[in-house]
Amino acid sequence: MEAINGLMMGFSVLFTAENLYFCLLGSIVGTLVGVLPGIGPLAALALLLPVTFQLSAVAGLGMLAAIFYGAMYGGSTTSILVNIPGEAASVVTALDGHAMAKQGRAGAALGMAAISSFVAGTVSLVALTFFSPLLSSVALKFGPPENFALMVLGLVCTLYMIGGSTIKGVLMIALGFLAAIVGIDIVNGQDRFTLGTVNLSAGIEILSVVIGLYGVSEILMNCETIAKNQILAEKIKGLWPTFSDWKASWKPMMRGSFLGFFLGLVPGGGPVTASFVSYTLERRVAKDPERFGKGAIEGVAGPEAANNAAVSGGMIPLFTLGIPGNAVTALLLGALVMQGVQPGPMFITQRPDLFWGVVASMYVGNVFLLLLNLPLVGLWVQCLRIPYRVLFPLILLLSIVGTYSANKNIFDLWVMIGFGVVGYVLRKLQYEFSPFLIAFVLAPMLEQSLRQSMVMSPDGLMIFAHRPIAAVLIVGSLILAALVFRQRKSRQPSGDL
Amino acid sequence: MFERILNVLWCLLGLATMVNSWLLGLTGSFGPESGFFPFICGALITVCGLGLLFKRSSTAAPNPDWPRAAALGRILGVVAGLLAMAATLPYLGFAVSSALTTFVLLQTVERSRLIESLIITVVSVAVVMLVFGRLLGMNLPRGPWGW
Repeated sequence: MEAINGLMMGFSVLFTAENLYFCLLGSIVGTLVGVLPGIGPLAALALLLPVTFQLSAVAGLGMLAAIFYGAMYGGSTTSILVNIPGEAASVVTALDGHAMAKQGRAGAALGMAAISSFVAGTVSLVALTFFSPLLSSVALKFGPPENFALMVLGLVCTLYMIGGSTIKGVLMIALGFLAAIVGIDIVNGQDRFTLGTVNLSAGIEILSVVIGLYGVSEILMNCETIAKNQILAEKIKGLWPTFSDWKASWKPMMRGSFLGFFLGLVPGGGPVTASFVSYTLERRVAKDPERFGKGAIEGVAGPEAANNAAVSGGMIPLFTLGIPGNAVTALLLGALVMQGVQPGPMFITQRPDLFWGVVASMYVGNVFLLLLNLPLVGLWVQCLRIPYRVLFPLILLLSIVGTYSANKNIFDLWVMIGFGVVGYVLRKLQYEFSPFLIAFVLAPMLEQSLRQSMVMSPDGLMIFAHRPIAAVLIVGSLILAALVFRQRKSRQPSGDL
Repeated sequence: MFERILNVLWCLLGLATMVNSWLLGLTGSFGPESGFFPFICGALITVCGLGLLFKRSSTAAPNPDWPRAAALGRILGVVAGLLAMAATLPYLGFAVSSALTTFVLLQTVERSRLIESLIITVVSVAVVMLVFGRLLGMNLPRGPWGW
């Protein structure tokens, strides 16, 4: 009942012209980002984050969230029509979606992708509505040792989900911590790793890091080749799936919704992992798995449902525990902090208007996206005709303006370029950035919890053994860490965004 | 070879962090000091650097696809453009600095035609200035001529 009342309040907060306008704008930008290869949702969020400084918190966060789940909707369009996934979570959709398009069933594939996304988005939002207050009340019992242990578990889960070398993942976490430590220590005012420059006293700006790593390095990667997009020329028809399509898809859609939601909840999980796991699951439970990869509609419905559901799932640990599960929610946490809001167990109690307003905006955004993606699919396909040389200067200028706008400091631009170049080199050497970004965002809270825990305890680190919840979380982290190092060869696909 | 050098650099960075953290102080009478957490980070970086150095066969990127001459030229061009823009921004202002950088990059990196480069430059700079400078009221750097 409390959740329903809260949601009603959220809708009353949301229904202003400004909030609805920015929710719609986020849905449009998100779909565009999903459609266009060469710019991912994280880079787009980072570039547009400064826009939210001028907006109310509900409008700003509603817009950022809409960009995130809008990209999941839009990503399927290019996967199906051009076999070029607009973003990583739509890679598996291309397998069967494009095969359907080649068989002349592009309309059915696009329709099912949009409907699955909508159904999963709504199912997972209902779960978010009722689950968040519950988890938040549990998290109220957490003290610094439990918070520290939970963050450690989150980081280990991130390592479990990433692809590639675990050692590189651990290294990225440590580097993320180190980058976040730079600046004045708030406890005793000591300068740490500022290299004697006043520009680093306030620390490294998150926008410089994110835009450098995800924006500039992506521009540099795209500069290597001059790609030309080929668009499927035929007219798209029959967007509404047939009865047999529905019959084949409703179970994968529901399985994808629940699987995606729970994988979104797990730190380190996210839309990419959810879509891959859903595809594998559908192939495994299918009576005739050999159809997969040749145009099976279940291969579109399941993963598309899963990647959208994972977005809502990922919001729960962010809002209720203040712990981001993936790089995008880490950036959203940064955005909240910039707005002067600290998510955590008290967030729903202290800022019910903001929490329920954002949840309500996600319900409305889902409807916007269904309307934008079904009737206007032809328009989005035409966006693929925009050559990269037109987008490239715009992305470059947005990178500069986005970074500069945070502090009006040119030094941040140098930092951004530095992170961009280093990011490009590390991409080439198959380092993943999500552990770095999550560690960068979590570091201040992690260090504070560790210090508070040790001040609370006369036995130093033994406090983590004396507190039952913290002990269970630490043991869980150790077991998972051991598993990560043992099971390197049979890994899940990358969860990086 | 490049990855091996990078792994050595990680080790050196980790060691430098540990030394610096030690100098900041690890623990005091009221619990951990400023250097405690960075010391752990430094130790982690050093251990990982050593791990990458000695377990190269299982951790190194298989045949990293480094850019060849033309692609490398384009990448260096973009980096140079960004550096030039950051350097000139306080003196020339956003409009001139970004227009110059965009135009030069379109001509050299993207090899667009002259008219096309001019149109893309004007439209891109105008859109960014309109959205950020006017609609969102952000103070973009101005040149000596006031814009």
